[in-house]
Amino acid sequence: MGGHPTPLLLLRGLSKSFGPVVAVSPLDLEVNAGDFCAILGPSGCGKSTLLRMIAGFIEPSGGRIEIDGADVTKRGPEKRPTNMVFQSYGLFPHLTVAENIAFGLSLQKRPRSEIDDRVDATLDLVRLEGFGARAIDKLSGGQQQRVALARALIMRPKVLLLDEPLAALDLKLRHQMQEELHRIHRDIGGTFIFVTHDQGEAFALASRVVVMNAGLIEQVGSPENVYQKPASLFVADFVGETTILGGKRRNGRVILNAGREFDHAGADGPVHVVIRPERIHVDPLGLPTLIADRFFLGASLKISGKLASGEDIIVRIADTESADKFKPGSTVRLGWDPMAQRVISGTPQ
Amino acid sequence: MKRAGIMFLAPATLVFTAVFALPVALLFAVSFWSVKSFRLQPDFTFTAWQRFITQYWELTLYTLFVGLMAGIICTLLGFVFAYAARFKAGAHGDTLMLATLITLFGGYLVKIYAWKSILGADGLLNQTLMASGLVTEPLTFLIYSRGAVIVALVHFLLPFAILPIYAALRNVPDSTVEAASDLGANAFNTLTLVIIPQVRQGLFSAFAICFLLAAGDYVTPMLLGGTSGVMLGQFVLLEFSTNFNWPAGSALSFGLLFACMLLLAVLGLAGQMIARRKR
Amino acid sequence: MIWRAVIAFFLLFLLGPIALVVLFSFGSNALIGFPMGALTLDWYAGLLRDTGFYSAFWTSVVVALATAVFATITGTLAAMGLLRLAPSVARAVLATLSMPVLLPPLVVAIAIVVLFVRGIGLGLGVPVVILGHILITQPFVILIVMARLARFDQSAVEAARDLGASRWQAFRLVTLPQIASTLVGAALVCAAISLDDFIIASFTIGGGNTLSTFVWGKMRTTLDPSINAIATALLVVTVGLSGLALRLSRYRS
Repeated sequence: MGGHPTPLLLLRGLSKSFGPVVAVSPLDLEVNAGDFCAILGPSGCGKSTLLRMIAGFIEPSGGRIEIDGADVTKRGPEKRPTNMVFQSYGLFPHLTVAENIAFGLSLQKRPRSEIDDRVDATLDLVRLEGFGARAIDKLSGGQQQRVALARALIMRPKVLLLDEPLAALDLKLRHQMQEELHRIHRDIGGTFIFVTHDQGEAFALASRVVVMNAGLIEQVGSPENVYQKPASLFVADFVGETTILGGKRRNGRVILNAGREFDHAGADGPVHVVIRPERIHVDPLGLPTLIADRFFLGASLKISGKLASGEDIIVRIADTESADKFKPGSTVRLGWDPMAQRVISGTPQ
Repeated sequence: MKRAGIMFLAPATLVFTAVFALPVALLFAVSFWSVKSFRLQPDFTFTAWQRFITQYWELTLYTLFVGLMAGIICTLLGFVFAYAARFKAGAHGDTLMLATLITLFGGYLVKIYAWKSILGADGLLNQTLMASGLVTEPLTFLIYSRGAVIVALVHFLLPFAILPIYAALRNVPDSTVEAASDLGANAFNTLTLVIIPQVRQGLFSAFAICFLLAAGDYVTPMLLGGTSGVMLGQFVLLEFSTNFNWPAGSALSFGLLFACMLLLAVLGLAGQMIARRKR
Repeated sequence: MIWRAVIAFFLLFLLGPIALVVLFSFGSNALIGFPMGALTLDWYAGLLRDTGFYSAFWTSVVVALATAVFATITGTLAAMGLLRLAPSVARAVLATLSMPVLLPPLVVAIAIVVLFVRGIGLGLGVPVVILGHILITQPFVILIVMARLARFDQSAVEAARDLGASRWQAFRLVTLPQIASTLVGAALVCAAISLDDFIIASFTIGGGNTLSTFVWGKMRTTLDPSINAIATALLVVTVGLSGLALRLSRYRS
């Protein structure tokens, strides 16, 4: 992929209010063909509303939606080149697995042979070969989810929408389905957009992450981007664990309440510095930290402590054998590479 | 634990046995008894049943017809209203059902009397039509006719259809409706392919209840049916109270009941066969 | 939207005729029709002077009260029993117990008469009416109470037993207070159904009247204008009771 491809999905000034309550503030978003895009945010941030507007179940209060160049804003869901996998699956209980999957195609009055072939192919794709004649109530949660997926995929939508697809599954199944979704996306090369509140899931699946909060898009970028270079305090805090340190900038020099100083260009005023826990390490020249607690997490060691400024600091260390360096109640000097920190201007909202 | 459970059911079962099961069994037995000079005596004869089959078969068919009509109309109208309350009324759906539930208690006799007053020759409807100049003479066919009986029956029985259909519709997940339209179905397709198949049981229950209650009614045709709107229930009453011919009354009752069950069974089977063929 | 019109039409159809009866019970003109005549409470006053009305009224009250109390007891016990059975068995038993409500009331009424007059020879009267009403109301109590008990947190009862309460004490001190409002609601529903019933009462009462049979008597003479008033009174009571019941038990069928 080179150059600037025309985005497959275009949202311009899209907004939705329910009476006086603003669910989605006017926002712009572009999703390119082949993207696996995650809309990530806490409950109530508007991500589901956004997804349902794209699907056509909610009429926007303002703005427009374009898919593949066509303005679909006024079209109902049955007329859009999108298909959705619902959070509660929405499988038709009175039809078999095969009939569920074939539903959309049979509405188009395609020839029986074509439908049967495509249903078989889609059952293979979601690894449910031979399940065609089964009744829905005899399926497990994971199997039901695959049927819901197959029912949407068989339609070959330009954009596949998934509403918290893995929320109802237990941990092991969730990881399994994550790999499945990844594989399917690779195999068919489609454009997927899914909504989740689970940051780990968003990162595992998506090539592009859209972080939302209170109806606004806080940041759009690759998982690395969003993690290493959070654009706002909300993103820094919501995505993974962080240490947030406050300070002031004067004449291009940042002075942290915790005691450090460094040069950083920008306007005068309050700033925050954000450092990821795995980038902090023991440093003889670092800030004195009172160790509050340590947790053995299996693959890593997590240490929480308090700085002289009263702010909390979180550290993750891969070397789990060094736990006894961090006795709770003792003081350890901690520091980090200036390249690892991220400066965010302004006060938090 | 099980013994305690069965004990708890004892009082209700006692009432059921003493006031329903035994009486009904006895009543059935009575249909084989005979009446000699106004005295009922135990016997085993088919006189009463013969009477039912030879003299009342036409009336039975007609009564079944009225019941069928009332049942079908109630189910159709009930579905429309329940659908509107479930899918188009938003948060008010349950309130509407509350209103419906309350009309259920609105008085059986009161309703029939109300229709008598509305449909009569000097009733409200005629008065309005004449006052507005649409007709010059009162319409007499409005009352003392089959139509009047069916209208009043539908009015009384409609809540009996609305409530179970609404309950069934509430069990239809919104996600199945949305999924249908997401896959390209318009409103009609969604209704026929996704919603109705899920509530088939509820629809048939509603129909069965309305049909049974309508077919067995005697007060409505008594007050509104005149001579052309006669139903079997009235003759059950006649044989029982006036003629003191209890065997005949009993045979008529059970005859009607069996006819109704037969019709329901046939319709139920037909419905299942149609549903299976559609696949 | 067209659906608003549909809903409005239905409500009009369902409530209209009843509203008319209520409306005209306050009019001086005897029959339902125009002109309505002056607004008056004469018909109600006439009712209060009618001894037949009083005796019918008291009979109805006695029957409804007795029905409410006994049906609630039998129904609640049955509901508790059903919940201890396997679901499929419980469904079958419930369907059986509900049969009296699904069959034409005429057949049920006649059957009762046959048993009590011919079979047992006890004769008819208020007690038989009460039995008949218990028969047709207890299925409703069962449904209502089962729905409530399904939502009931059994662990509170287990905690009480753990602390030393006997089965009966646990029921009396823990379960009963919590389901009390549901029981009252169910009782009110029974009373409403009992007051409303005509067919069973007319067959089983022997001599005397309940309010329903009283109305029926007036209706037979066609031209008695106080029907509106009685009907309205009956209506208000039954609707009022059922409304109250619903508020108390928040029951959804």
